[in-house]
Amino acid sequence: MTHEEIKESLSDYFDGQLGPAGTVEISAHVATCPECRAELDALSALSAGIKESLPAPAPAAMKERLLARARQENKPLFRSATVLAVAFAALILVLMAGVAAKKYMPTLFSSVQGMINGAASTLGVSGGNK
Amino acid sequence: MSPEELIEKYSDMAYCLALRLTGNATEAEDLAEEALIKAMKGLPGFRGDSEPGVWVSRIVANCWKNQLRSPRLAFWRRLGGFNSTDGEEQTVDPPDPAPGPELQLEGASRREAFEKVLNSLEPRDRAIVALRELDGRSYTEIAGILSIPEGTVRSRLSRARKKLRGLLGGFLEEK
Repeated sequence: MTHEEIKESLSDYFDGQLGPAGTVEISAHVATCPECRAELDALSALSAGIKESLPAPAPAAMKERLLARARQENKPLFRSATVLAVAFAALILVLMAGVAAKKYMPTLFSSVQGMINGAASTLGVSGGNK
Repeated sequence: MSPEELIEKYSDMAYCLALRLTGNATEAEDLAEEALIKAMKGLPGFRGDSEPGVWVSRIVANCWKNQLRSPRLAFWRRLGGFNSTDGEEQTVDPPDPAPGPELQLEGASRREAFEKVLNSLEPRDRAIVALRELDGRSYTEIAGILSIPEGTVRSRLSRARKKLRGLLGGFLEEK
C-alpha cells in the first residue's frame, strides 16, 4: 500500500477492522511514519472526546415508567385470564351436558343424581335435587 | 431474560444511542421508550441469534428510521440522512458538506464542542459514529443494525471522523 492508501485505511486500522495482513503492513508503516502516527493520535483523541461527551444515563422517569411496564409484562395476567376462561368454558360444558343428559338420558341422569345425593348424604350435606 | 432485566441492562444504552441519533433529549426519550417497549414485546420471540445489545440497538435504529419517514419529522429527510425507501443505500455518497455557519464553537467547553460537532453530522453518519464510538459495535454489526452495506459503514465512518477532526481543531488537543 502507498502512504496515501494507508492514510485512507487508518480509520479501519484504528478500529481493528483490517485483516491480519493489512494490520501488519500498516503497523510497520506507522512505526516509521510520523504523519500517520499523528493521524492515529488524532483518531484516538477524537474517540476519547466522543466517549467523554457521553450524556447522562437514561432519564429516571423514563426508566421507572418502563420498569413499571416490565413488571406488568412479567405478571402472569394473561395466563390467569386464560385459566379462568378455560375453567368457565368447562363449567358451561358440564352444565350443558347435565341438561342434555336429563333430557335425553333420564335413566343415566337419575342414577348420576342418585350417586351425587348418596355421596352428599354420606358427607352430611343435604342434596339439592331430590 | 425478563423484561425487567432488559430495561435495567439496556435502557441507558438505548437512550444514549437515541440521543445521538436524534440530537435532542426529548425526542431521544420518546425514541428510547418506544424502542424498549417494542423490545419487551418482542422478548418472547428473541432467539438470541445476535447479542441482545445488538438486537436492542437494531430496534432503536428501526424506530428512528420509521420516525424519519413520519410526516412529523419529515424535515429530517431534507438533511439527507436515510432515503425514504427502506433505508436502501444511495448509490453515490453526497459530497462532504462544509461546516455550516451555525456551528460556532468559540467559547464552548470541550464537551459542548464535541456535542455540537456530533450533532452537525448527517443523521446516518451520526448513527454510525454513535454505534462505533459509544457502543463499540463492529462494522458488520453496524451494517446489520442500520441495514446498509459494510463498505458504506467503513467509508462514512472514515469521512465523518475527518469532518469531526476538521471541525474540532484545537479542541482535540485539550484535556
